Amino acid sequence: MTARNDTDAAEQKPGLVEVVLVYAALFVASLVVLYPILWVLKLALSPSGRLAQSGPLPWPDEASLESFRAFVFAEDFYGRPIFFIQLGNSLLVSAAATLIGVVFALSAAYGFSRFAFPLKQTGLKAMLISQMFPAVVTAVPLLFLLDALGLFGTTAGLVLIYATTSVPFSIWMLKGYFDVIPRDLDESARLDGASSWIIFTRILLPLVRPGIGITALFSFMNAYNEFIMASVFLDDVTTYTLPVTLQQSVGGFDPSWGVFAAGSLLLSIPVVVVFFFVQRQMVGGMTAGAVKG
Amino acid sequence: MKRRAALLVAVLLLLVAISFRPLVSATHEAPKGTRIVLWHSQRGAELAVLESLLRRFNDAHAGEIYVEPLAVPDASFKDKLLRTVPRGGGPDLFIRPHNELGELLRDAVAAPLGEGALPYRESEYLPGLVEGLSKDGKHYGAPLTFKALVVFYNTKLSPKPPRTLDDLEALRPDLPSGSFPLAYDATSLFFHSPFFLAAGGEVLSGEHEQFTLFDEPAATSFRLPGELRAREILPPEPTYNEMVRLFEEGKVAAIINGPWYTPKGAVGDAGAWDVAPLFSMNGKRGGSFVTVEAVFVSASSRNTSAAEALLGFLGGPAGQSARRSELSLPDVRRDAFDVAGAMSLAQKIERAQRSALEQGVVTPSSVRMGSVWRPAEDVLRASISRGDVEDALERARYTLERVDAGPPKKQSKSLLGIVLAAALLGGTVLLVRQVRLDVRAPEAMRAKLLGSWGKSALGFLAPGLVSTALLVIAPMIAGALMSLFEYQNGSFEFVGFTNFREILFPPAEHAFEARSFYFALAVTVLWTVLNVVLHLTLGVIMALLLRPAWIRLRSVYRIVLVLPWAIPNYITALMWKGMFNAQVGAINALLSPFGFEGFAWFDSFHTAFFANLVTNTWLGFPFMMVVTLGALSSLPKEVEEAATLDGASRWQRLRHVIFPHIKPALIPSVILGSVWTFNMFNVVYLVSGGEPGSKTDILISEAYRWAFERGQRYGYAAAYSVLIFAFLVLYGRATSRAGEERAT
Repeated sequence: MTARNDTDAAEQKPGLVEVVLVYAALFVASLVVLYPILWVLKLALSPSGRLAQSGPLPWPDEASLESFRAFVFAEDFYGRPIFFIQLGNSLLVSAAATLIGVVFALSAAYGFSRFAFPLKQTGLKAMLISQMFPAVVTAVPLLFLLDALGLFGTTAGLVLIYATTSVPFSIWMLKGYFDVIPRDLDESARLDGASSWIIFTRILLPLVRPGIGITALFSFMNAYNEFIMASVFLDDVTTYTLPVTLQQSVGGFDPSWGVFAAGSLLLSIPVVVVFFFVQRQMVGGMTAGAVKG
Repeated sequence: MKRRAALLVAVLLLLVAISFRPLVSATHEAPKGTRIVLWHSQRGAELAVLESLLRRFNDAHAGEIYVEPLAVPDASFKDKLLRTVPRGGGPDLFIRPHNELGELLRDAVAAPLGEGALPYRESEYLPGLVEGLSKDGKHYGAPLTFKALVVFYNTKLSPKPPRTLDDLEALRPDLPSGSFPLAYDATSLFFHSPFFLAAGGEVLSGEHEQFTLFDEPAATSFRLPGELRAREILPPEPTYNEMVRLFEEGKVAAIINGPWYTPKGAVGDAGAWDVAPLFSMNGKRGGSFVTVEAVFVSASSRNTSAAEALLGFLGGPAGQSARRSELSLPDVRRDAFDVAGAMSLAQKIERAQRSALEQGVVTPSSVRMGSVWRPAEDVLRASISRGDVEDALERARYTLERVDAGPPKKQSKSLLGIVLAAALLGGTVLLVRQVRLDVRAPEAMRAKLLGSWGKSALGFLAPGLVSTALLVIAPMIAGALMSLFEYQNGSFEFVGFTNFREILFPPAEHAFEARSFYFALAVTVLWTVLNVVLHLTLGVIMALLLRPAWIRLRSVYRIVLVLPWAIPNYITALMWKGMFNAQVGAINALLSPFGFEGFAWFDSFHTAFFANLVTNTWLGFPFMMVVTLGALSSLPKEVEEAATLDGASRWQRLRHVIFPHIKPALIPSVILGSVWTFNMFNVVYLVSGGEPGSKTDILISEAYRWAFERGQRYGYAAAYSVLIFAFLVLYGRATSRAGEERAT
């Protein structure tokens, strides 16, 4: 079980040209990716919160941590540290929504991939179709519904919204991963007398781990960056999620772009951390032995 | 082991973060008395003054009343009020600009003030302020302060305050090259208002509030920015940030701006600036649009007397003097300004604002105001880029005609019954037919034999499907039904298929121009196809590049390349917009060797569309890369090894082993990716903003504009959404057909 260097054992030793080309391509791609982000960083570090004219290089002329400080050490009316409270809220809401969403989607994806039943294709299509309707007009009925359920303004309601909105996507993604696993595997287990539940939890779940990682990452980000629903929905500064406070720093007259940039960068750190753990799943992946069965 | 430890630390940090709220709220004791909630969207110095006022109020009423403020993002403030107050929630008081009053009243969000609740007598206020907050003889809020436009001038370039536009033009010959006499955000009707009012413009007039802003003589003022540009009085690309930058670098003699502005930069540091009232034009002293900041009592407040006490405190002497002394915001009373002799800076700003109010107008608070900003902006932009202003005016008039076209005539409710019954019946028939087909399908037979048929699936499917049906599909159906209605006077009226007819069968001469359904559809399709092809190609290439095991720092590259996806796109999209800026943008600086200096990306459709495309590709390829990496990782290495042993070349392995393997995982992502791109609102809205003239708007941003920028035509926007939906469903069918054909 060598998870670290499994991916390309088939590859022979690379030639020098290949090495140079691959590194060059990766280097250029990283530059292109980092360039706008460095501009965001420069904006976050600029004391005036504005970008003055300064040529093509995003090198800060003068650096000040004031914007970061203003965002992190913000206090509410009673002097409570709202950044830390809201960071906790954001993480709690996103983690809970991810957990619920992925569990629901996993079992449904298994159902769609491994069973036959009436309206199967229709159901799958409905999942896809639900992603096609613009959110501009669905928000209002959704809020009515949550009000009827007595969940308006509660953290639980927000978790429920985030969890369910990511379920259709997650089902589709995960079904793709289930479909890749040869059916012989679970069918032979079934002949050996294993129940559907055992096949699902013991045999298939370990094999779709890369898929779970990606889907979880996606659900997490979906919930973690969302602010439109959250800002309409929550009405206490101690239940706000971070993006709501972030949006509060701009809009209207004289927006604080520096704080907005600093906050956005801080906000993305947990996502990068989550990705760090998920990527291991992605490359660890399936070992061939399990498939041979 | 290291990873385990890292994971453990991450989980611990998560737990610490989550426990913050319970810990803090356990130690925090709520004050005694009646709780009054105040919503606002203030920050910085304004917030500090507001909070200190509230503390004073709380101390004065200790034990009886206490106020709790809540900061609400400006962008969702109105929405939040409309969603909470009518159902009995929301704040007791809120601070908003007066011009939202029309909407607040239509949805019964603001309550009329009681007798004597206004802190001063009506006659004591500056003219126009209380009127702006009144309707049908009732007052709906107490003015806190008002914001009108003033002139900031550079004392080095213009030693005396500019009194007329001619004074400014006279500076022209003495200014160094690259410097200009005047700067103002000529793309916004608000900042353009001095010119608009000087030309005798009126936005709405008459009892029915007809749109008159594009009629003569007001229309002349829309031609002016182009002329000022031609006479080199106004710099190129006169947008707010750009103008502020030029002024602060000392390249502009005077800038029109609001009282919230304090010059920073070189000019600010040197203190080489002063404030003056708006200059005269056409022999009239300058006036501007005026916004009144007011505190309102919410219709859902159960403690009206306590709320009105706070309203009196914030809007009365205590609030007025604090805001004036600490924020230099003008007092709202007629007699509050009595200065003889030398004035302080704050007094100069106040005098200039009072003069702009005297000569100008408090912006109408009618709901119809919401529809004029965007068309006016389009005309102003056409004028600045020296396009065809007459044509732009014509289009703007037509846009407002479409705003007026709704709400259409009411239709009888029986049609609604017929539509619903037909939909229900049709749906049931289709479902039953599908069930019968499915039960008889060969797959069903096979599944029954294997024991993977029917009921055993139910337990696995139920949680996911039930929650989706309830919270995703049901709101969707409700949203779709909205397309048969039109929103007016706070309620939905059934109008049948009028919205669809209007969208699908516009007058022939307007059918294929920007802002029409067909034009937006074409742009959207082009947008989607190009994006998906680019995302997929780049994503797969990057994933393959990251694959070989010999690459050092592989996980570092992987994390770097996924960053565009990880950082919230509302900041990165705005950053890209800044990078495409003509004057200071990094892109033009990078491309300057190729003659791109000052190139205006958003002036033509092709380049604006290109800017959107670049941004969205940057944002979108990591998703495809991650999906491909996941799919690649499940490729058993023996398969590839076997292919290598069989002598397959690199390309053959790619084509016959790798691609077929990752395809099943990629197809759903491609379908979903195209759906999301089709509805990618953020990038289009934030980067090009539809420039030029709504040409780069895609269907979803058009729908958004009809709902929020062109007269709250929610039904119309819903009809757009249904059409988007229908198109995507057809697309989905076509692709799945194509997929099946290829598979067989």
